[in-house]
Amino acid sequence: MSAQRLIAVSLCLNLVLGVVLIRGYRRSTPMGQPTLATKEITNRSLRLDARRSPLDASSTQPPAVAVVVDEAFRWAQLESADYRVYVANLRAIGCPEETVRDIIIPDVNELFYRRVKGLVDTVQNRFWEFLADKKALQKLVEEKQGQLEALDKERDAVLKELLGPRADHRLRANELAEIEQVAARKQFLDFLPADKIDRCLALDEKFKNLREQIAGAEPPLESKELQAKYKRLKEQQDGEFEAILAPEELAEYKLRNSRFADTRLRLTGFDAGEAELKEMVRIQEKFAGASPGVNGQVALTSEAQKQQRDELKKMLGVERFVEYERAQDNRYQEMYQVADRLQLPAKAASDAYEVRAAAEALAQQVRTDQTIPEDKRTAQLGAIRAETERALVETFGPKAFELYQTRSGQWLAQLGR
Amino acid sequence: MKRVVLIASVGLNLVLAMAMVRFRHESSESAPRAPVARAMPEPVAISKGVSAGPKTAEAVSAVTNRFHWRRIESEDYAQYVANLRGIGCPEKTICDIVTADVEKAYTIKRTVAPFPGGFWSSGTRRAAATQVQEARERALEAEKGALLQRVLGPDCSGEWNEQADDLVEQALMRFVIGPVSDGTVQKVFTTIKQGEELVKEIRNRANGIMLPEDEAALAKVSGQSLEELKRLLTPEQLEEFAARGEAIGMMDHGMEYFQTTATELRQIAHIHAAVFWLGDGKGFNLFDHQEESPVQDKEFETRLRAYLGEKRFAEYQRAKDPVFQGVVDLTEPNSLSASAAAKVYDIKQLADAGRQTLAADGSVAGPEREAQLRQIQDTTRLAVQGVLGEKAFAAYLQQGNGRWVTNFVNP
Repeated sequence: MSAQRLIAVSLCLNLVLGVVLIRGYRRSTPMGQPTLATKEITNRSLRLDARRSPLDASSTQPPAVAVVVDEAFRWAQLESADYRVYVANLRAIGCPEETVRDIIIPDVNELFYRRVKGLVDTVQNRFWEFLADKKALQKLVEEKQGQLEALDKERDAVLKELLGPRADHRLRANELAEIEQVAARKQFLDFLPADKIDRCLALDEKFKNLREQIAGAEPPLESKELQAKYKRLKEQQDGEFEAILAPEELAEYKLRNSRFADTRLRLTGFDAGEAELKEMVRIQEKFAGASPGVNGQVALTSEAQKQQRDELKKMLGVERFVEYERAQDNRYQEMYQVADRLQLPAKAASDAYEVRAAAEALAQQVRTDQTIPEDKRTAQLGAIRAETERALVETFGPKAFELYQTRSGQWLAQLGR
Repeated sequence: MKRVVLIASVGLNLVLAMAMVRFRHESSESAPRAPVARAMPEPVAISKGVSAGPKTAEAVSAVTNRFHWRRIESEDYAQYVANLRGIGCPEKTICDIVTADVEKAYTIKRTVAPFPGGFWSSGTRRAAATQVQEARERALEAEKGALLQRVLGPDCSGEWNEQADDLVEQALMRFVIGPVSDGTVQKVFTTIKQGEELVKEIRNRANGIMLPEDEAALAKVSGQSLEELKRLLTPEQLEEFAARGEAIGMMDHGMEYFQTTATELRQIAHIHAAVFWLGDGKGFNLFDHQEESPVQDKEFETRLRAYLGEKRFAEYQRAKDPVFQGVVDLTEPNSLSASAAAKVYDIKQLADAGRQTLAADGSVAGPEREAQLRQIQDTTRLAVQGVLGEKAFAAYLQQGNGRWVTNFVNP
């Protein structure tokens, strides 16, 4: 091939390559869109897109600008004047949803705090004027309360839009409360193997969601229908729950769930073993189940009460039964608390309790004895009081007695009357 | 010459070919990075700034395969904070992220540990287990505080964020604290909340039985908090804050029945704050009335009498009387005259004087004394009825404050 022909072919190739390159470049850069600018700083890159949103049709801003910047990642690149963009940016870099909430909720709160401040600052310097004028203050409170309620609603709407339908300003507090509830429930179910605990918790969650669905139904359900649905759900939940548990597990669950299970919390200073406590609950359940309730409260007949006490006495033995009854007596509990606080032996409280019981019985005897003349009765009651105080000082010691008298010593004054 | 043209043309071809290859490579590399902005929610209305003028929506689309949150997350909070600071995350946001995370972590830590007494325990065993649990919780709380302090420094506190949920409380706090900067409001709030927490802890531990050592611990916490407030506020700001807090407390304790001007009320509240608040540092539960000692009561009354003068002081005393308050409460619903309460109060003073005279008169006893008492009661009853009218009088007798009208003979 001659040199001339080679030059011609090469020039043609120059032309073709040039045209292809220019057309390719034009295709990649639409008309009216500025050129991309790249700034190399590190190997991390971020695209800053300042184009107006396609949804923002009303905007009359200049055409979109897209800039690709390769640089070290900075938080400022996530920030936006618009929370939705800020949230989307956080999610886009893989920020966990929980952390997104931890960032956004205080930020939105801060925004609304500024608005609260705006509401308050207008009246801040009239504090004394309002406080001195009851009517003006009441009017101000009503007005501001309305404004604050509106702000609350607005804030919740913003949070729902940003973080989902379950979000509101109590979201974080609710989450913490839920952690506590689940932990408490786990402890309540700690007699079950781990897999069953998980199944029970899953069941709780399932029915909680179902209840929420019913509560949030649109249009809202009538109260009667709502209650009926809740009742059916409860029955269904109980059924499914019982199906998970073995018979002995179910028995334990029912005991723990009994209205009498809190007996264990009321026994001041009375140490009962697990078997004893369970038996106490069983006995109380047995008698309550056999008695017609009044307004949802257990109302035992005096005969049933006697039988119940007899069964408890049989189970505990006479001596421990006395201690069991005393432990639930408010008069003993007050004495026990003082002794416990001052680290006195428990015997100090039981001795003091006996002193009180004996003194009150004696005083009652004197009061009802018609043969004693009025002046002598007063003198005898005074003597009982003095002797009781002396015995209590001896039992408790002067410091504990003084403390006890200040807190719970009103009965001593009545003793002398 | 031909050789030169040929070399130049081939060289140009090579350059163009390389440019084309590079261009194609770049195009194919950037194609999948579609701007995330498309997937973003509609921007515009929820502006972070208070002034919500029309703005161009600014969308930042991160290239997620190059930067991911995982890069800054760390099990070690100090490292996590350092990483966040490293990318320029604002301190306030770091504080928000870390305090929320720590709060959650410690809630789990606190609740995951089983109750040491087990479900079925009672009496001393349960009480001992409860103490163990409370001690464990206190230790965790202290550990949490120390951790936050260590990784975030003293300026970050979750207290404000916790309180930020409640706009009404925020508004009230702002209203009461007086004209100070935002930062100061938050710090004052945090100081008070932390003090209240410590006080609560002392009271819980005392279980309703306060020993001298508990009182000393309370006084110490109060003193420390007051010192901190003195550091945060100027003396004038602290005095104003204390007075405003006291004024609100006094409003629920009889002051609402005492008509004052704004200036008078402010001065009274300042005296009250100086005696009860700043005097001994009991600056807690700003919206609850503090327990007051008789010595403080006396000092307050002496200073108040000196400020108000005898006549106004007598009116102040009257405003604290339930007899007077009872009629004030009936004034508006029964369209009584503004002076009705004062008139009934004066009648009561006269009746009391009459009773005292009778009691001092040893020559009148038995049925005669009873007859005279009944006469005073009847006269009083007619007088009060005359001031209040039938309807309001019946209402007055029904409320506890009006019983004095009918209990002369059998109190």
